[in-house]
This record gives sequence, C-alpha cells and structure tokens, in this order.
Amino acid sequence: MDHPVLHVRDLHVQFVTDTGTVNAVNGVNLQVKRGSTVGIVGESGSGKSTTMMAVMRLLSTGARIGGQVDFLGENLLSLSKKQMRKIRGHRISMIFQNPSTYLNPTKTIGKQMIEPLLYHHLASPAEARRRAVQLLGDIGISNPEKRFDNYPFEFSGGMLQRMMIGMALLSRPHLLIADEPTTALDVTVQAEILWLLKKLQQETGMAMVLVTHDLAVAAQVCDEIYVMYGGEMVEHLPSEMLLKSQAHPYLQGLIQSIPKLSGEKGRLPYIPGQPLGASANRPTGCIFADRCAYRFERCAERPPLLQLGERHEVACWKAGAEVSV
Amino acid sequence: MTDGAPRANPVPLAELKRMTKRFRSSGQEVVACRDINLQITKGESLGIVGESGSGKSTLIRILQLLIPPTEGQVYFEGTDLTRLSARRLRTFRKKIQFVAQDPYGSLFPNLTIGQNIAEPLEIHGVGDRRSRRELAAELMETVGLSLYNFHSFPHELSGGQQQRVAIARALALYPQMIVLDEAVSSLDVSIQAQILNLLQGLKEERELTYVFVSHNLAVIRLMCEQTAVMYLGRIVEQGETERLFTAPSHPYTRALISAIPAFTEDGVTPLGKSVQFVTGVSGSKQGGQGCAYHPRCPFATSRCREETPELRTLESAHQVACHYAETMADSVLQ
Repeated sequence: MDHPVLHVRDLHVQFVTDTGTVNAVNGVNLQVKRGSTVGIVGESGSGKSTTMMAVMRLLSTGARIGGQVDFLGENLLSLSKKQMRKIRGHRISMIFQNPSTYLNPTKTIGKQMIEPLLYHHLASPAEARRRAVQLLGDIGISNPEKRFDNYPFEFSGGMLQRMMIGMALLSRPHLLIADEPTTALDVTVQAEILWLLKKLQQETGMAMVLVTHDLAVAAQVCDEIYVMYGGEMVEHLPSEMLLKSQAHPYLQGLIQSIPKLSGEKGRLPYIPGQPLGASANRPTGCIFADRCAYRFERCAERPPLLQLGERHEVACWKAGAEVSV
Repeated sequence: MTDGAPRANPVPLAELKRMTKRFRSSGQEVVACRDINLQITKGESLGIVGESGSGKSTLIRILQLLIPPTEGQVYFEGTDLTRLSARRLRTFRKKIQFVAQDPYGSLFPNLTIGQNIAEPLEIHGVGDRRSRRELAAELMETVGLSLYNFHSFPHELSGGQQQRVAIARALALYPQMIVLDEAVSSLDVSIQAQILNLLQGLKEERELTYVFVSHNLAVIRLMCEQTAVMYLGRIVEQGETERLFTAPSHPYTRALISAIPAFTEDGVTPLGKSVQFVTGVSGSKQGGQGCAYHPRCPFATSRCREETPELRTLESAHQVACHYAETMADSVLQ
C-alpha cells in the first residue's frame, strides 16, 4: 500500500473577525501520492488557497484550524512553530502567484536562492552556490554564473517565476505547493513554466499540488482534480474524466461556461447567481442548491461525498442517485 | 471582381494610417507602436492579442484619443483627428468609450452606482439632473442590475456587478465604439460568461463595435469578427478571426494558439512538448535588423535575421508579416 505524501483529513478553517465568524474551509479531505500532481480548482472565495495555507501553517494567528494534516506520517497541525520551520522550504516548498512580491528587491537573486540551503544546513556556501548556478542553467537562464549576482528587477516576470521554482526545488522537497504560479504571466510564458514544473517533477519524483482557478490548466498538468465551492470539496476526479464524466452540477456549469477554441459560437451557458461568499450565512443543505437547476427536496439536507467510481467522488444527491440506480 | 476595382467599402469607423508612437524615457527612446495600419469597420469587432510589452495598450490609448501619435493619422468616421483642437476632439470622445480590467478601480468609490453611471452625461452636459438620473436607472436595467443598488456604493457590489456598472457607464453617451481592455479577465468563469453574454446582446441591440484586448484567445474568438496580433510594437498578423484561428500564418500566432490551455470539443489542448525558453529578448532590441520575432522563432533563417518582413496580404484581407507565411499556413498546427 502506497502511503500518500500528504493526507488532509476533515480540515476546517475559521476566521474570527469583528463582524462575525468566517467559515473559509469546511471539512476538506484530500490525498497527494508520491510523484503525482493534484489540482485544487475553484473560484475566488472557494477556499482553495486557504486550504493550502493551512497545510503550510501560514495563516494568521486569528485562524482556527481543525482536522488533521498528515505529511509523511507526521501531523503538521500538532508540530511546534520551530519544528514547522524545519519543514517549510526544505521538505515542503511553496511558490506563489506574483514572484516579484515574494523576492527581496534589495538582495541579489543568488543570495536568495541559496538561503533555504544555508538555513536548513543542507550545503556549505560554496556547494550551495555551485548548485544554484547549475540550477539557473537548468531552468533556462543564460549566463547563470553572471546572473547569480543580479537583482530581481533585472529579470522579467517569467524569469523570476522560474527562479522561484528553482529556489523551491533546490532543497529537493517531497512536496511542492504551487498557488496560481502562472496567473500573472503571458500565455506563452505560462506554457514554459508549466512545462518546466512538469519536467522537474518527473526528474525529482516529488509530489505537487497546483492551486488554480483555470480548469484547462489543471486538466493539462494534473493527474487528479479536486473542485472546491464555498469552502467545501464538491467533486474529486481523475483529470482525464474532467470533460467527459464530471458529475456535480457546479462543475458541469463551470465547464460549459468556458469559451472554446473551436466549435459553435454564440451565447455561453452560465451558472445563474453569485458564488457563495465565505462570510455569507451557510445553508444547512447543499451549498450549491440555490444556483442549481437540478435542485429537489433532498437538497435541503447536506450531501456527503459519495463514491462514484475509483478516485471519483461527488457531493451531490442527484449525481449519487444516478449511479446507485 | 476585376483587379484594382474599388470595393464597395463604406468609410471605416476608425482607421490608423502609418501610426507610430515613440516614448522617451531617461534618454532612451522606446517605440511602443511602429507603422501601424488598421481599419475598424462598423459592426466588425476587433480583437487585439499580444504579450505584455507588445504595444497593445498604447494602441488602444491612441484609438481612444487619449494620447496623440508621434507619426501618422487617426481617423474616426472619416475625420482626421490628429488635426483637431482639444475642444472639437471632445465631441469625438463621446463616441468612443472604455471598460477597464479592474472594475472597482475604474469606478469612483465615493459616488453611488447611479452617480457613477450619470458621470459621463454630466461631463458632456447631456440633459438635466432629473433626466440623467432616469437614464442612469434605465441603463442599470439594460445591463441587468437591480435598481435596488441605485444608491449603493461600488464596494458593496461583487466584481461582476461592478463590471456591469462600468459597462452601463460606457453606454451612457450612446457610443459607436467601446474599447474593452481585458474586461473579463479578473472575473470568475461563471461570472465571465454572464458578462460576455451581456456584451454580445448589447452589440446586437445597439450596433456597437468593440475593440477587445485580451490574452484569452477563446474569448476573442467568441466576441470579434477581426483579430490583430501584435508583437513588439508591430502588427504581425491580422484578418478574419475564423481564418486566423484555422490557418494561423505567423509563427508567433501559432505559438500563441498552441500555448493557450483551452478545452476543445473532445478534451484539453496538450501542454506544449517542446517549449523554448525566451531568454535575453527584450523590447529594447526592437530597433535591430531583421524580423523582430526571429530570436524566438524556431523557423528563422538567415533572411529573417537580415530583412524585416513587411505586412503583406495573403488572401481575403488576411495580412501577415513573415517571409514564410505561405509555408506556415500550409503546415499542420501542432
């Protein structure tokens, strides 16, 4: 039995604010196996980023986190801050949407790249430099020896994101969390970055979690996809089933509303109404019911994740009923 | 049709002739747009694609008459606008309106929704207070906003609703043309579909012409009859959208189309197999000899390094700036 690298069980995140309690994540379960890529997709406010921030324990102290986050057999939620610091940037790395805001503008790229190696005592300064320069070359930066001493402003957005990836992988992590890594980039550069991520993953055998709002990107890169809506996981399925066998009415509506590169033109099908905000009052029944065209009496009761097939689960009474008949 | 016979073309709604725009910053000259010829026919919306730094923002600012070109002319309904005084230009500005990417940033946070929509009417002195309010309310209904929000402030609305307000405001002066700069990019997909449908409906009802800037080629395909592809300040390919998508003839257009992650009829476009890293290519090198795209082009030959390709017409008004456009169009898109 292959143990997952990351196993999130019944994760809850609440933020207590002056105006009330915000239920950002409500009972999320997910597994990431060694060498696999898992996509978490959802619209703004669906809780996809908060879930991964909770896994990394990067949320503010005002956040109340419940559940269990097993990483290589250790529950990250029970670790001390000091123990957690030993894991971040070493065994789990994370990259974000806007590389220029995560890099220090007053330090050279090289200094920042080798920082995690020195912090975690993984290499001597000379060895760290040698590895960083080699990696710069691997990720397609020409003249790496010289570029090592450049400052962030001397690079383009795509180059900086490649360096963030390089930096994240320098410590050879078991898990990489990429939160919208290509959203701020041009499409041709996006393709480069996704391709690089995929290539490095195959070389190192690490597991990866890709958080994105773009279903097409998730389908291109990921093995499995988890779909979040209103802080809940509404569907989990292998990527190759995304277009053909999606079961949740929300995911169906979402896929239909994306303009296509070929085929019919004209009006797009759309999901009526607004996505459920995190601070809104949560219904006791299905969270998608008030926007759903297939709503029936049973939807007044909250549907659990129902097993549809191997690696395919959905939180919908209608989709679940169709299978059991 | 005999050769050289004038086509029964009406006067284009907007036209750029040999338009060049240069900016000077800290002693260096940057050519943002170089020798651009562009015609926009009424009812034929134009999509503009290109990466950051390609000059598309400069182009649409010139089309909106916000900045004058360094060289060349800007025509709107047959009038050369580069010769007009600031006062006469104002009457033309009414006919061209703008919707920006960030809906919240483009609305006045201290004005109510009704006041925001009526603002352009006030600036151009249209009607009295009462009639302006009535028109604002009417426009809210047109774009699918509830009148309940008339006295709300922008921050009280969602992103999709804010974008509807921005669209209502753009419609207030009965424009001929609306320039939309990444107008749906910051919206969630389910909301994006609602806004795109609204824009399609308004286009039909009001005979609008859109200039649609977007990095999302699927959105361009849906919204625009014509498409222009920009690279480092030049238009490298333009023509009918369907043609451009089925027979892209510039290697950059082909790279763009194959790079887009999109759903097709039966799956998702594959992740590019042999993506080349773009290194050391920057906008400042654009003054050099040869095709601006040659450092990135997998098909570049010695000719591409020496000779700058002109924008030339292939067939049915499909124009391409590539020495090998014919071979490109014939080869299969990977």
